[in-house]
Amino acid sequence: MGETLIDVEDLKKYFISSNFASRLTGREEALRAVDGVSFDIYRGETFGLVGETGCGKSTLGRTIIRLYEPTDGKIYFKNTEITSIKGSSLRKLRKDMQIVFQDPLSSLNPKKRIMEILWEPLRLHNICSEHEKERKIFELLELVGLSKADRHKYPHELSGGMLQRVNIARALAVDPDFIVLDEPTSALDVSIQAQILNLLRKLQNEFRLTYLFISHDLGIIHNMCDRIAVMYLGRIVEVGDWKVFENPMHPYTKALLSCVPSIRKESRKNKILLKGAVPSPVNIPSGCRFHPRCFLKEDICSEIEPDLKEVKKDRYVACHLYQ
Amino acid sequence: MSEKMSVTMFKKPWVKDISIEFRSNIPALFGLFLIFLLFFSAIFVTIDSTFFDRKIISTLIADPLEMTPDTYQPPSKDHWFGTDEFGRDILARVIYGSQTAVIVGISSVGFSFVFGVLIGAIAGFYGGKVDHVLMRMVEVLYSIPALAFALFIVAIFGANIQNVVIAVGIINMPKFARVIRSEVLSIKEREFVMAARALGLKNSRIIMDHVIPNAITSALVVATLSIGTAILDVAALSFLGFGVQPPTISWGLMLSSGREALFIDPYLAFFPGLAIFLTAMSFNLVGDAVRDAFDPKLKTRWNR
Amino acid sequence: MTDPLLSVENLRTYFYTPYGVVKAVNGVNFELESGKALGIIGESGSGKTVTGLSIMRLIFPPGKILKGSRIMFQGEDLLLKPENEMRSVRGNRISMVFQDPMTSLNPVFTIGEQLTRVIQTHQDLTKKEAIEKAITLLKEVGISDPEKRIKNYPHQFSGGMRQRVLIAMAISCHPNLIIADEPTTALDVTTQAKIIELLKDLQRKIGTSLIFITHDLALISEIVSEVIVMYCGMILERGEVDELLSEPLHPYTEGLLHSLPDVNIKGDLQPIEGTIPSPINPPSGCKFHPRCKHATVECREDVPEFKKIRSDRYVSCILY
Repeated sequence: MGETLIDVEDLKKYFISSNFASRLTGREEALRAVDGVSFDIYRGETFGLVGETGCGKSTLGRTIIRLYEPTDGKIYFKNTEITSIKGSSLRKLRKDMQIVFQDPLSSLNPKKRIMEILWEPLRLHNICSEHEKERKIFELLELVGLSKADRHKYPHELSGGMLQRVNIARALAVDPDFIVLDEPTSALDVSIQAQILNLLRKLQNEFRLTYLFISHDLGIIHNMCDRIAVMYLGRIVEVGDWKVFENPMHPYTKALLSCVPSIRKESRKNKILLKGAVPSPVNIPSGCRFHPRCFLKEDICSEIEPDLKEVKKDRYVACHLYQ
Repeated sequence: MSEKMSVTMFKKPWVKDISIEFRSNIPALFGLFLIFLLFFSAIFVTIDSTFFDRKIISTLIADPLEMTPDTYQPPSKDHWFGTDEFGRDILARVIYGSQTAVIVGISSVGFSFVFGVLIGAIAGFYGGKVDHVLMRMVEVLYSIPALAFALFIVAIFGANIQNVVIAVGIINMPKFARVIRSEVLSIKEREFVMAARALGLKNSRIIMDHVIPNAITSALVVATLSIGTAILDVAALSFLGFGVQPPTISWGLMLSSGREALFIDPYLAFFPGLAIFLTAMSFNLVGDAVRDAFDPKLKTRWNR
Repeated sequence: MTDPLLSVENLRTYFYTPYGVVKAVNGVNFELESGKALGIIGESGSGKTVTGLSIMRLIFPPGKILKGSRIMFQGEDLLLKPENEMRSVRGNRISMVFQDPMTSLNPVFTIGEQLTRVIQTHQDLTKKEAIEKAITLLKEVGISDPEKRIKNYPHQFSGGMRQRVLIAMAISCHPNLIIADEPTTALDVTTQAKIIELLKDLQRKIGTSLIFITHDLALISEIVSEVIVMYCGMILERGEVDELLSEPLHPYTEGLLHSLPDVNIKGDLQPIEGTIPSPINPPSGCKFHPRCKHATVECREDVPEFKKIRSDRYVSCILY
């Protein structure tokens, strides 16, 4: 560990809604999906990003690999700034960074056979020649646990788990260093989910991949990740290793963990039920954005937004309780 | 064995959908039958006129161009559909007219299809200013009365078959552009387009390889429905004298010349009119069935 | 032992699709006593949702509940009732809460209008009384300021709040049975916890029975006392929830538990191999045999009997 692969500094991604009415009044609303986020991802690790619907975790993942244009801030990949590269250098970067999406069916072109889907990245980045095509595709299929016969099938002929294997194979085809896994198992059944998680772990060891694992499922995050970041309303509130699960520090992390149902009777703790709902990212509360729902709120919380600070070794928390 | 065969036969998902739809839709099957008949007749006419100088039809029925003294004959054993003002056999002429209908129908719809799909896909995919400019142009085209616009083009560039095809092609094009654009708007949000971008594909490639193939089915539905309309439009232009010119045989022209004798000899107008009606109807029946087959709402999840 | 509130006997619901017959529910038997909570666990295609819909008789063509199925509810067979009588059962004596709170409410009517309509359908109340009742109900499901909120439209509510409204609708007529079909799947964990608390609370207060359908093993253990495990339209195992989860009998249940990335396990999981079979062409014999570690020739041929192992513990597997 130690070598930084990705360094994100104060990254922001706003979506500006501009319709006829807003242009008339001159007041355009900004949806602040990602609102000033900084962290590092080390080579070879699985960095988990956890949070609830609308917290900006997917937007963050897509912005880092430049599928969305960042509004502000900086992204470094292997110590090179990639925040605003364009054209052929951006296309070259695509070879190093890949993504696997949540919905395995809609991430594959329904009109193409599996072979054509896997051939596309190989041809595009000149990874192998036409006569090596079959061999390379067999290799990829075997790697993700699919049979050779599957190459002639269309996506709708495969089950969800198999489709997600195809998606993983396509991401691997370009031999990337870094893969964003955006809720890769949320659409799958429990018994299939475990297969995919094991596959991802196997591939990581084999190819020394670095993962950004995005999920709302704390069980999966705990199982898969070396370090995790907890997001709330466009900001990271806590970063740390697995100790975050043992000893959560930020009140939001505490509440989130307490709400996870468990099959073990003894680990069914008292739940911390948060009041109200997550505010809209168009209208973010002043001060600490969690303060209207916080059960440990103090006066300062509604006025000053706390920074993400290292409170002990490798543990960062954005909360006034620890500043 | 038989199961394996049917699986390979129906590998393309849409083939399966269509075959299931047509199996239970009798009007559509009837329409399909009439369309086959129309195409068969058009092919026959093409072969007969280019290689045999109308010999086959002359032996079987009568030469559609030969004038005889038997003018205004009602349907009889010799002339099933009767004869026209020059004594030409109407059945033979209706059969020969099918060629014009098919050529004009297919090529004008082909014209609208190609340009409509391209404009719609580009407008939908890029959005913003590109979308604004292209779609406003399409809307202007939509707001001009179709027939008047076609008349205008034919009047300026001359009344021949190519110009008629282009004129009718242009007036049908907005339908394609609009349908494809709205389809593309939803397709470009799907993850496989995002994944293609993440792989580093150029926009032009994403449009051609990923977006258009997935939007095309709805354009195919519009196309089948439009062929009928296009044939009607061409007939209308011909009827007004701005379309296909004699001696080319077209149903619209036959209808036009039959108009003068409508009260003496209604058969002159009836049979070409019937041919136009049946053609337009069959393309509509088939078009409806194709649309139903592609409608995701009517599909269940069982077909995995 | 008194007569159970609900007893489902040999329930078979098939869908006759153009692609083949889907035996969504194929011979399901269970009872539910008054005031108890039963969980139905299953993955996609297990028939858990169709079981719920069959009890409500909300099965439409190409689906059909086969002859020979019986759904005894308070001593009557629901399947023999004419449709108009069935309508007075639905929403009144049995009500259902669906998965998606976003689409289960009509966007063009206010919350109040929708609630009072349900109330007035089943109860002889004036408009004013119905509105008062609606306000009480919303208060009961934990919506603050209900007097104002009933004038709001669904889009002005968050996902969790909408699910509360749907629960309010479900309990409005004091039903004897609530069927909750994945009521929290579309919600976040923190919201889910609140909805589960609410359901437990209401069940205790009103004393209704509950059928809780879900794919989430951990979640189900927090709300129900007894659980049935479904796979490919059949019940594989049934038992008291904590016992079943700590000591699963059927290899499938065991596999599911090992697949679960619990907060306590780090590293490789032990998943069930293979894929969920296609609903059109399910395997012969025991539906689980192609994925089972213990499968024998027998498993391929015969469906194992659903046997009682000990009190309140049933399993369908030749190992027992």
